[in-house]
Amino acid sequence: MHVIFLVHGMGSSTPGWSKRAQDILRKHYKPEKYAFLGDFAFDAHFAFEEINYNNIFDRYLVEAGKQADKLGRWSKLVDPANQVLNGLLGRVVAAASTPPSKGFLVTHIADVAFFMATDLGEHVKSAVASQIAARLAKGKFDPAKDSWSVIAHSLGTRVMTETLQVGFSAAPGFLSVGKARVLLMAANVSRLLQEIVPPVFNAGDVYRNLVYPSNGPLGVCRHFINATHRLDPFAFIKEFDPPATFGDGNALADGLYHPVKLATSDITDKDVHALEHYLEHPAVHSTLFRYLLPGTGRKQATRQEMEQAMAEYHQATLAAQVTNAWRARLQALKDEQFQKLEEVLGIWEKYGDLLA
Amino acid sequence: MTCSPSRWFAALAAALLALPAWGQTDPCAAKSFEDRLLKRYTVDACWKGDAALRKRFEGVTRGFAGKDAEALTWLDLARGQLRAQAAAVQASAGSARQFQDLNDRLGLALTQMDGLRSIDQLGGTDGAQRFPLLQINQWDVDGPPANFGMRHLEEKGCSDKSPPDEACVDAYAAAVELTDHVFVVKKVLSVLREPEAAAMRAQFAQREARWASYFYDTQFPYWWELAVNRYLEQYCGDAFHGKVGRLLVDEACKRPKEDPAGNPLEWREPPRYRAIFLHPDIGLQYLRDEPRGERFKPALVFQWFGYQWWDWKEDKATDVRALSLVSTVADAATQKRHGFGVQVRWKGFAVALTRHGSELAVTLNLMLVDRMTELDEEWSAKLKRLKD
Repeated sequence: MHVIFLVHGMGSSTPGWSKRAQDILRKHYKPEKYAFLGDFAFDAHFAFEEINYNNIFDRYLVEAGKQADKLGRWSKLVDPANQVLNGLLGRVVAAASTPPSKGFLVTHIADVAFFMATDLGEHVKSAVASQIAARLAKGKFDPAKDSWSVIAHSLGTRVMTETLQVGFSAAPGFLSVGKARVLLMAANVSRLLQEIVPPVFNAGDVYRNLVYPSNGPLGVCRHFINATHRLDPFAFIKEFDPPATFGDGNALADGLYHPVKLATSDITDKDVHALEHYLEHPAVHSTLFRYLLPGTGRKQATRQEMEQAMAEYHQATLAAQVTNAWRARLQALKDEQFQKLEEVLGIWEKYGDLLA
Repeated sequence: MTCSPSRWFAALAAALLALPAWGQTDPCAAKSFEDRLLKRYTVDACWKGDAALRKRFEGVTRGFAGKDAEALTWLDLARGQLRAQAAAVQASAGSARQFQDLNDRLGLALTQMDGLRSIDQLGGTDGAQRFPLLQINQWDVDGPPANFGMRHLEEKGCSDKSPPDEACVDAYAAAVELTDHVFVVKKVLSVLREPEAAAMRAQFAQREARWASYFYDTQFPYWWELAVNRYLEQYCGDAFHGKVGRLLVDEACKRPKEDPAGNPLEWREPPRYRAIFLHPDIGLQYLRDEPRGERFKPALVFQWFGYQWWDWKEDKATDVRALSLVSTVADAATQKRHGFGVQVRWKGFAVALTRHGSELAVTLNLMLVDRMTELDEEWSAKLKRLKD
């Protein structure tokens, strides 16, 4: 069996979040559509495993809300507190007694900040590693003949980059169950977060770490697929686009790194950033299927099949409720400045407003 | 001998009953040699259908199931298996360069294995230096076993040929042989690696549980405290935070090892201590000079800076202690509202001593108040009125 782990991105994901993504992959995995799939029935050879870590952020925010509520009930003490050190004490109390909001910034951006700049990120990584290790345990997985792969999205790409980096370099670690076969990163923000996080929170270098594909014993996977949509404001800013020296310097030359760049015209949903939106695209799912299948990856969709799949996809594009005006507003985000952290946050907030 | 109609009927019925079996597709059948090879290892029924391979596979499994590190039986078995694999690989190495590489690695590994007296010798830095090729991760073989055979089929131009093709029957047989070797080698590897995999699972689960305890079994950290502590841990060592750690828990925080590009090479373990920074809370304050009936008042307890530390008992932070510099603010009538002093905390119960002008105030945190109300009914009634 080939286990495919699905790792969510930022936002409020709850258990069962991956069902739509799974359905999309099953829908397109058809030998009638792509002959190279042969008679390898999906459910007979592949099993999905959903990874959840959002509960860690949620739990923290709930606890923070309780603390805020407890302090908020004693508001009469804030006035005297304001008289201490020019109101510093009062301001901290006010911050502590303000419950976290449920807005886009908190549900999305706070996840990123918590992950990158606090030890909640360590809790997340250890939880993700633990879930993966539990699924690859003896009795459920045989490294002699089974394989495993990862599909990660958005913040999940950064989470997996860090988890695999440490999981493969520390012992005991993932080497005991073998390398992943495919690592699919959709809307990869790992480099963006490395660049925008203040240097005090050392974020390493995603082009010079262990998370690269290799045919040899190094690296963490055999194939690395990186999918980026040209209008996805989480992916086009400081896009993950490795140089020829990526990893051990052979990943690109050996043809093991597979970038998939989706055109601005290819939109079937308002949320271009969504994992489902990526997986619907024939260039993404057919590349994934190609390398998920055992073998060398030589077999792939034919040109005719891809043309047919793209024609069907473009029909869905026309049917999508995406107006030209909305598309223009999305396009306009690309023209904004996004060098500084506050500029990046500003773009994301505008994107959140577009979806609202 | 005559055939009665009833016998004919019985024969026909038997034939009809057997029809579903004829109608079932063979799970191992495939249009090309390559597909057939793929199925051999991915469909259990296919490789188990091969008596020779199943026997080898079961031999390995059975041998390792009864492993006994003391008696070195499993090591003997591994040695034998690997020798056999190395020999087999050598015999057929011409068709795939990677097999030669694998063979070389296995050959050297076997030489080192001969000098190994106990599995324990493999561990630690010394083990890694003395037996580098016996570090199991050096024995990685590329992907699913079928990949090896598939390359051979590709080289022979047989990937897409259908099974009756005479020219490719031999190539297919060689591909199967090669792949079977890898399959068994991978099985050996997976069994050898299982102790490490089990240790990994246990360690991952414990680390996850400890991080949860770090946040919720200690004094709850506000988000700015999380960021400050992450910063302090990043620059610990001989800096202030490290020195405090040595003083409080006899160990400094440890920055995980990094590669030259700054990527971590180790997990960050949940610490045994944490800084407290700008942490507001609510307590009940006692000021003796206040008018009778108003000596107990709700108070804001503000920890400016301090430390809490604890012990790990299994996966849980226990015996949490803390010491911090605090301000308390209460609606005092006769004394200064704001006082400055220290707070000590033990297992969730905290007492702050602060000076308000000429008077010393005692402030208890709500958990301690709750505990006291459980002990004394009169206190309970009095304090409950104030709390509410």
